[in-house]
Formats: sequence, C-alpha cells, structure tokens
Amino acid sequence: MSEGRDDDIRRDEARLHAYHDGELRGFARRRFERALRRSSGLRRELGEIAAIGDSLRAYDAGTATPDLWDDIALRLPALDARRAEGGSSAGRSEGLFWWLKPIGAVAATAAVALVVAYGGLFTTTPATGGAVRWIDSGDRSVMVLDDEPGTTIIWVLDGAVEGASRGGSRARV
Amino acid sequence: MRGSRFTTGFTLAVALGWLLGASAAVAEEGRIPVEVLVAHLSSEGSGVDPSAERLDRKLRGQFKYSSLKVLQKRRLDLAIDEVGTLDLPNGKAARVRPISKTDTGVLIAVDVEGAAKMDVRAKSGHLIVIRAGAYEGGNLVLSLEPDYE
Repeated sequence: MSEGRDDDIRRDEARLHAYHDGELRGFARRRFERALRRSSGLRRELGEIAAIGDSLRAYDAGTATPDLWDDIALRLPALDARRAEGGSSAGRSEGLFWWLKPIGAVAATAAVALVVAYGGLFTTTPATGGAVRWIDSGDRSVMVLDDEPGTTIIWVLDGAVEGASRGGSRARV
Repeated sequence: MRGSRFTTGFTLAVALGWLLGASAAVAEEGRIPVEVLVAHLSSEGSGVDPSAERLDRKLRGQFKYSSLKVLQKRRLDLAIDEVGTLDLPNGKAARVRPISKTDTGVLIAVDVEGAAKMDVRAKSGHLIVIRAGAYEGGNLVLSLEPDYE
C-alpha cells in the first residue's frame, strides 16, 4: 500500500520536473495541467522548483566565480599518477575486498568507453594542457608556449601582469 | 668427471652472471635520464653558446636576446620518485622528480624556487624550458629534456 503511494509520489515528482523543464508534450502535458489545476500541493511544489531555479540563475549572474575547471583538469593526471603509485601499497592492505576488483575494472572500462565515445563525438575544442599538467606560480603570471612540437616554454613572469601575452612579434628579454 | 664438474661450474657462473646482468638491466630500465641545462639569456653582450644551439633555436623565435650562455649542464639519472636537485646561480634551487612513466611520456614534478611548481608530461626528446627568474640583468632559464629509450 505504502509502496504504491511512494511510487505515485515519485511519478508525480518526475512529471512535475518534466513539466517545469518543458519536457511534457501533447496529451501528457494537458493531463498534467488538469491535475495541477486540481491540486494545490502540486502547484506549491511547482512554485518551489521555479523559485530554486530563479535563485540559482540570480546567483550565477551576480557572482563573479572563477572558472576553476582548468586548474582541476590540469591536476587530475598528476593525482591519477600518484594514485597509481600508491596502488602497490594499497594492494597489500586490500584484505577481503579482492573480489571487488573485477567490478572496479568493469566500471573503469565503462567509464573509459563513455569518455572515448562522448569525447570523440562531441568534442568541439582541441584538448588543452599539452605538456603542462599542473602549475602553481603563486601570484606570478605565466605564459605557456607550446606551439612548436617537441617544445614547451614556461615563461614565469616576475609578477602578476594583466593580460600577459607574448605580445608583438617577440617578447623582450 | 673433472671436465663435467668444470662444465657445470662454468654453466652456473654464466647463469649467475646473466641473472645479475638482467636484474641490473631491470633496475636501469626504471631510471629516467634527464638532460638539464641552466642558461643565462641577456640583451647585453653577444654570442650563443654552441652547446645550447637547440635551446637557442627554440627561444630565438619567441624572445629577443643577444647572448645565451650555458651556466650549468648536467644529466640527472633519476628513479621514479627520486628527487634531483640543482643549485641555481641565483641562489635558488630547482628540484626535479619523475612521478610516473607511461606510453604518453614521463610525468615530472618540477619545483623552481622563486618561480613556480609544476607537473609536466614529456616524451623522450621533448624540451621543457622554464624561466627561473631574473639574473644579472637578464633571465635565468632552465631546460629539461627526458632522454630515455
């Protein structure tokens, strides 16, 4: 009985989100709008969902949040490498959990397959990073020049320079 | 009988030698040779050190300078996680530590005091050039080049 009610609630929630996101069409949309007119609870929930969306949009628009993804993405390979190094010592303490390994391997394979598939189909910008995987120059600006194959120049400036770039034909030493 | 003992002894010695040689080779395989060069770039004076011609070729198109002097040249032969330290002429130090080696190259952590810390991935022969700060009216430059089979 209770399970049936939970299912109904879950179904209503799913429909509510779908309606809010404009994903309900045709007959399903008309039927949900009819239910919405009848139920004050549904209308209240819809209002709450809309309010959350509005407040998130207002936060994004009003807050100058730095884009940290590049820093995180640069750091990941190094972390992976360290994790791989730690793998041998972790292996010694795995104890009774050896049987989880195949599950992990399957999950990893699936993840790699997804990355390859989606990366290949939807990547619109070239991969960034090049040779430099992570860099911390404190408050100094850095130019990374890796136009030429087989060479990466990491030019750490003495201070923070607004819009630091190679500039002109050649930068002065 | 005596000949047979000699043959057995000789075979054992050869086998032992081969085993020792093989283990030494395995140990060598794990090491990562890195060519390190510390150079001074300046707009005063002239001339390019012949031992830094490759570095000059790479930098010439990007930066303006009239003199390139090699101050230090070393070959570090490091194991994974082993730290190689260089004392730079500006009183700072540079530390190099290979983190891992894969088909895509060697991941190396580099810490140049007073400049930056970084992780770089480079295949054998890839030249990494890092400005290590100002020095005697010019710039101190550190170049790293992994050189492995």
